[in-house]
Amino acid sequence: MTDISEKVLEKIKGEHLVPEPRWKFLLKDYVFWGAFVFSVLLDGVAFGVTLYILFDSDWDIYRNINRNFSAHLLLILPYFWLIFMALFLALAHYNYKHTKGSYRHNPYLVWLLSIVFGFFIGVGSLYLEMGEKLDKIFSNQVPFYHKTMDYRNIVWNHPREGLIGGVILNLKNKSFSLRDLSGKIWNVHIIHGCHMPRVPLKDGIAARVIGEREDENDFLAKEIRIAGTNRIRMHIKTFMLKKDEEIPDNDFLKEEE
Amino acid sequence: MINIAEDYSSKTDEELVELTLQNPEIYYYLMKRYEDKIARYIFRISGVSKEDGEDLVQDVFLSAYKNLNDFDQGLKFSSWLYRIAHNKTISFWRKIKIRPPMIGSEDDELLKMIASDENIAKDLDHKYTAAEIKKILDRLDEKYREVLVLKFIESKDYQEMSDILEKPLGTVGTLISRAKEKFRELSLKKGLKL
Repeated sequence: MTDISEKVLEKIKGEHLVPEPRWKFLLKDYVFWGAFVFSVLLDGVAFGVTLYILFDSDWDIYRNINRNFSAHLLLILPYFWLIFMALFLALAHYNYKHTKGSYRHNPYLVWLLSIVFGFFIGVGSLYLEMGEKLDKIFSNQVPFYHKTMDYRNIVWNHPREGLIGGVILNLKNKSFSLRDLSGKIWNVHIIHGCHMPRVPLKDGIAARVIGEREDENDFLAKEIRIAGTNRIRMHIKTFMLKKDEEIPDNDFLKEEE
Repeated sequence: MINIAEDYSSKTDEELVELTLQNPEIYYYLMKRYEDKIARYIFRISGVSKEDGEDLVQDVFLSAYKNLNDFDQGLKFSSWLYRIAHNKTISFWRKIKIRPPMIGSEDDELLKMIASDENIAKDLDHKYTAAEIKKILDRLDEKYREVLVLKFIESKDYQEMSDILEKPLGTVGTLISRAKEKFRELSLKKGLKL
């Protein structure tokens, strides 16, 4: 065999080749690590919005609008965020694979850890209302998002079927005004035996009402649900309370009885 | 020939890497240590012609030199160099877009070691000749063939194989078991024209 080593050395000397500086390799590695962490973070945020949408959806009202559960489920699922989650998870995996020495660890463990971290970031972002905020930002600014993702709100724009949703304004003893998604103001009258949420109603919070349209502007409420992060907090609070503990009732109705 | 009087034979690979970063001429000693080994390894896993093999070896050494600062001292230098050789050989296969031909012919005795491995040899009713073993190996997927070459011919342990192939230890173990199983299946297959 010809002396390959000598040939290579000649080439190195002749072309004045020098090893790439160490900082370049370190930088490359840090960039991949940074991108990995960022991807897990974004995956977590996407998971947070997914959780928010799932918790904020009403799974039981499909009958009111004459749909079957599968059709309802298909419309509720937050595909946009599920795709984002899968994308960021794949991106995290790709970036991790390009870090130095990544092959020494079990890839399934890395997937699992990314999912677990994403889960905690998601729960954290959900609690900090990031899920709700991002959902609103996307809903207001991304046209196709509004069309594909707003089913859970649009479904509450069916007054003839007894479903309205919007923001509570001008809360009184047994009634309140509600600005619905189209901007219309409804006078909502709370009838006796109306099923109330387990947190007090307030002006400015999002609510959903099941009931009966009385006339053009009046609506009789048989059930009131709150929406958004408040509703999720309420679910968490209910879950955390011990069985024998009393759940605080809606004060505002008690006064009337 | 280079003009360095000092004897570097007692130095470890890692020490030579550090010295090369200060004086490129030292790299010659490092290359000399691995020139034949890398050339044989490339030939064994790819069966390329002598000219292509030499080009690949040169390419491996040049690439290793340029990336010397990326060498992880936690690894054996040999594993790192074999990894570069593995990657360069794969790129070469992809470039010429053909399936790598069978392994070189100078490994007859070593080839027999593969077939005599107790996991492979069980159920085989006769001893195979080196030519027969080569034909079986040629029918194996490259990934299985390469792990058999690394384990039986290059005598690499699992950790080294993991570092060379950049796969977790568990995956290396699985690959070896599957490679042995595939080898045995092919050997037992009725109608196999060896």
